[in-house]
Amino acid sequence: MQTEYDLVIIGSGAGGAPIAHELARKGKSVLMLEKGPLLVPQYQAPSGISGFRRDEAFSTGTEKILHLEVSNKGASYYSSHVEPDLNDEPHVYRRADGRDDATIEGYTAQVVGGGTQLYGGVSLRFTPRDLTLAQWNNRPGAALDGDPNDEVRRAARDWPFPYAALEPYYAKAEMLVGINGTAENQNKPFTSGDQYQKPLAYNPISEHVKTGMSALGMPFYRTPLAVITADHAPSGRKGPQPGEAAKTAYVNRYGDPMGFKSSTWVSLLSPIKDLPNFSLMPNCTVTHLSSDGSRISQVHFLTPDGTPRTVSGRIVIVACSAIESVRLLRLSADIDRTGFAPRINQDGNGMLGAYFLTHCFGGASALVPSSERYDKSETLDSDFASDFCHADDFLAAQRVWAGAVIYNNTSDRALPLAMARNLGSRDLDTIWQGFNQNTGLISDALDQFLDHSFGRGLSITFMANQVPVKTNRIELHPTVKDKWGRPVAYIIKDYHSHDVALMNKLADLCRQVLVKGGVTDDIGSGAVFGKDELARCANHILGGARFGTDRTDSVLDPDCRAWGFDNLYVTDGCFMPTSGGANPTLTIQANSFRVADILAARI
Amino acid sequence: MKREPLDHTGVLNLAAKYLSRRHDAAVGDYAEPWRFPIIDSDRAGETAQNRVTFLWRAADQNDGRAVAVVGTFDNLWDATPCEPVQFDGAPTLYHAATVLVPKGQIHCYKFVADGQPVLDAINPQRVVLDNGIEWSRFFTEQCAIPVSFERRELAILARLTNEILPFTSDDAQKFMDLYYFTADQQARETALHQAFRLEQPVGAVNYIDKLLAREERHRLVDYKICLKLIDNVLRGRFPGLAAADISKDAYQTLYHQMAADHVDGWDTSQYGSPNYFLQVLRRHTYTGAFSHPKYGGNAGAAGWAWLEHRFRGPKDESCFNWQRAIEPPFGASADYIA
Repeated sequence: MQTEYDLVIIGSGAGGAPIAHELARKGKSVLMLEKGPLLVPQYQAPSGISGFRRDEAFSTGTEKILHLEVSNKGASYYSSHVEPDLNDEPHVYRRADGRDDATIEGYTAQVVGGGTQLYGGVSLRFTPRDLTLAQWNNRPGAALDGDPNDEVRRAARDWPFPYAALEPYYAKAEMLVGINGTAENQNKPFTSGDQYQKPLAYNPISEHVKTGMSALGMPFYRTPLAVITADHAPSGRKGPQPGEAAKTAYVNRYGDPMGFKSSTWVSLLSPIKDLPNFSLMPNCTVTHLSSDGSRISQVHFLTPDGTPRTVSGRIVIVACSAIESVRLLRLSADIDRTGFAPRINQDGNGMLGAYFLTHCFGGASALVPSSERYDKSETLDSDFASDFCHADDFLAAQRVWAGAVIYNNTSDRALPLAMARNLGSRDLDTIWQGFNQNTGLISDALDQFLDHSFGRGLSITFMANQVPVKTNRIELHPTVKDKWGRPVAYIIKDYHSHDVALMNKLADLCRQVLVKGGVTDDIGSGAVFGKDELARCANHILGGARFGTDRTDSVLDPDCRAWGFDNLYVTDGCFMPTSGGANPTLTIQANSFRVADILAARI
Repeated sequence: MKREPLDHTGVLNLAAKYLSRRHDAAVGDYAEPWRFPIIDSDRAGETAQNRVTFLWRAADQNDGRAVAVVGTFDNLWDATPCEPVQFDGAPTLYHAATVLVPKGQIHCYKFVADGQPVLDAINPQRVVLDNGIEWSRFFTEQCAIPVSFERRELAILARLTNEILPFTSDDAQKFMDLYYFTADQQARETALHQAFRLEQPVGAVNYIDKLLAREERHRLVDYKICLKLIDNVLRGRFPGLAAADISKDAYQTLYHQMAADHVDGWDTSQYGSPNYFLQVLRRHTYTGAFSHPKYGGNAGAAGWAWLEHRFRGPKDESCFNWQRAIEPPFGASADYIA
């Protein structure tokens, strides 16, 4: 039984897989530990059948009841097959009234591949401006709405390197992961070339989005999606035949049984899975790290039957999603209060867990005219996107601190169970509630409801930077424990007043896109979706261990190495000092490829 | 019985998440124990049977008992040995055996540990036979034999769920009749068995019957209490009439009273809110009509076929071409297997 490796990587998603891919191929011994199961596409399965299915019970399961001692004890919840049982491992957040609720928000999927198995696949680069928000907001004449105390300027941080340093790694990620889209009209330089596969024909319903964006002078492009549309040589995957076969409504929150969606398992880990120097151990839960001075000496984990075991690595990478990574570091600090704790907490400067970020997000939604409805079950997750709101001119004119991408969603309201359980629900905590309470929707009225909605739903989403606030943070909950008796993550967050101003502006713009596109039936738009905005995470969980050049202001150095340690790196979304105006996965992957080069030069 | 080769990672994928935990964990012995034994599709092309994997967890590292499984899926004198599930080249606390069992069946089983019969400690499904002996139980996919409800309960549920579902129009009725009539022989036997046997177009009642034995076992008590209360209400209103013979108007009235949370004759000391039960029933009914047919509802995919027929685009093309994404025999995907 091997116990020493060049690298031990905790987590197999966007933060961990690129490093495993690069260093295993360079001959380094790599152990990857993953808490979740290994579910493979059907072409790899011994039985010929994937652990992922086109089955609506997989994305949102049957009812479970919360039994924990929290204020929403007794609540119903409906999780996917790769999210933990909330009773086993809850996320707890503090509500506005000070009470604590468990929430199903903020999990990125516990499975080999992590969130990249379930995501819609939107794979956008951040813009150069996203990485230089301190410079921008401290320019002469800068002025913002909703920031009476002039806080945003001081909260803004530049990343410790410019876009140009990340650009080659974006290109590398786009090539190795396998992404379709178009580069023209994106407000980011593609210096290293366009690596996209060709997009498929868009769903006819998205024509309205083209019309609306054109009318508003918003240059648009085909949304880059991590779905291969043709054979993909870097990962050895056969593409869909024909390409259109990749389209189903079983997209967002579904793993892909065919392996066309470019999860890190099919794109980055499968190509190295048979190397003798690479080991993947699924179903293994890391409990804590222990250290000897500045060196992480051991990684402690539980095997699939709960037997404790330890391994060591010359380098240890923590990449188990922002909330769980911060939790793991805090748990390790609690166990070793004189060794690990002062090093990771840097003698109590309060940075670990602080500046937790999600996104400012929201949008607008309506129904296309009933005479124009189409089959929405033949689709990917999004067709068109625009960087209109990323332009400096837009930021200055709108008095907002940072930009955002706007794109349409096509896979929502496409399947029969989703149409009912998502009725009136704004987040994962309110699934089924709207349908349940509307007991008049039966028989003919139910038929009319379905007729009214089928093939007509069209949504536009914005994804914007959230202002970093130190009190938004991840802690360990004082009383609630997981199934192993370990304290669970405690999420404490709110939105800054400028976030609210920015979200209102962007939601209005999304609404205008629909109106100009002729989509006005049942129109609604909003800033913050959710029964409780304090719970809403959208699975974009970022920050909490940000990197920077000043060790008093960050947890990680620019290489993503913990300031207090020599061999501890953290590479999931928690390194981000700002959350970017786009979905974060591609940036996490690109940064991990960057860190992989640094590590390759080191060991 | 011939044992199938064991997919060790496949077993650990479920065991670790749902069964492994600290012994004194405050959160219960297991999560989602209804998932055991594991009932899954058989390999590509074999659609008539399920792979059934029995899982045993040893007490600790020193528990060296030899474990086998016996049950009505095989000769009762033939025990199928369970083998240790391997992780990283070494045995774990888990032992498992996979066998093939036809779909649509119910079976009793026990483990035999060092010669002693033992109930499955994980699976909550138990049944006491006429001779007073308790067995563990499982059923395979598309099972149409009632496991949760009695005859009169089924009759009331069939009527109430028909009030909920959107299949009451003449067009819908005609479509359903034609759909079953044109279904091939095998599909029709299953579909007819599930649906018309319960006087119900898509078998939502059968879905609920199965759901309450497994996934939402915690809701069985709601049904048992409320169906008894509804039965009392109906007997009071229509003395001597069987549930099936009571008029549609009467069920409509009952539905609306339940929705309004006020039902004359409802004993609120036994169950406070008829509306709450109605919400659960309605969610289950809708889910049963449109879930994958393997769960026992949406018989022969008739629910999906109705949506395909009903909702059309500008050129009369369907807005729900479900068949292209779904595996045969329900759908027509050329590539996807499930």
